[in-house]
Amino acid sequence: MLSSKKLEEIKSMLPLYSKKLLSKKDQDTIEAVLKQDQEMQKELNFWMMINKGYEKLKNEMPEPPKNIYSKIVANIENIEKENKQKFIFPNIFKLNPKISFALIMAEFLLIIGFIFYIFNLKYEYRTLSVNEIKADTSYKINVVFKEDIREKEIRELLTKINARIIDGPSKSGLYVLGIKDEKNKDYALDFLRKSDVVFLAEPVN
Amino acid sequence: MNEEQELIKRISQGDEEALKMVYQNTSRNVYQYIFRLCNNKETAEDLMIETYTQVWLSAKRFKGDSRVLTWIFGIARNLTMNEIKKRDYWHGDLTDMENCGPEQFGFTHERETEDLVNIAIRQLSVKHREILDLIFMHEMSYEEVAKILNIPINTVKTRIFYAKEKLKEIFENMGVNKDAFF
Repeated sequence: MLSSKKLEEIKSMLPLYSKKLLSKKDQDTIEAVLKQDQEMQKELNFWMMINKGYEKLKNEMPEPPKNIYSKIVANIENIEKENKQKFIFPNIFKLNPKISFALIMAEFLLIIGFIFYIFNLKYEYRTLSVNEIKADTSYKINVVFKEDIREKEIRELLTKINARIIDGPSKSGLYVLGIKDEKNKDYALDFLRKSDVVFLAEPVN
Repeated sequence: MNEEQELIKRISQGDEEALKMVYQNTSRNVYQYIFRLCNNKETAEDLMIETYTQVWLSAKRFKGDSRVLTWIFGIARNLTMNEIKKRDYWHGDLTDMENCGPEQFGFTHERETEDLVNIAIRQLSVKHREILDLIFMHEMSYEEVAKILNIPINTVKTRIFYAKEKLKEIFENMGVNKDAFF
């Protein structure tokens, strides 16, 4: 005698049994129950009737139109064409959610970084800078130019004392000048200190 | 890897011929499944295009843990359900059926059983009808139905039970002699 739970389980399998979609073992189990259980047989008759209705329905179903495949191919080509155009700025929301999230975060950080960079630029001295600083044995003077000085004025000053920038500017606007001719070092230091465009001039220790 | 999984792998590598073969093997079932859900030929055609485009685009994501047809049905169902949510296809479609009273079906013997079954099935909600369609029309197992509908197997069984109860109620309302079937 099967438990009511097992009978319910068998009952739930009857639609598949009526379609012959079960394994041989399951079929045998159900057939054994059907021989003894009238109610189960009625239940099966119901599903057989539904199956009969579906068999007729299947024959009446429309076929897919013949030109659909060419439309599918055309649609795919269009999408791939659009995707190529969007290569630089892909629609990240159509990607895998994890990749989309990572890309969104990366873009967000880039934007934030760029904003900070721009913001910091405003507070830096906009003065001459030195490329490819090399070791220099000349006499060195630390110089801070006044804030409103122009590049042209600095160049004129450097020409007058035969000096060149060997380092800087630092964030605080400090330059290191190298005096080529050591004999002129006192003259150069004095000249810089008296200059209207120099805020500070001190020899490097 | 079986033959159909091999085809999906080829699609993921951009092989259009493989897509054509998958289409030839599955399109009839997929079209009829979509058509039964949306009940509109033009929409079914549009959804077919969308479904197979999606197959092409997401072939890389096919895990191979189900039949290809089950996987495509899952795609088709998602797209169709989204479309159904957008438009209320069934609103007004069943007016001729909803008002069927016992007087219209009093003479059961004059009607073919199959016709009565089909009329009754059409009156089921999409939720109940599609589960019967998957089993009786497309011969899917409960596991496959659960995968397509993205629900547990026990929910599949529960829905079948309620679909059966609803069908019995519809037959009674149609005046079908109870002894004829149950």
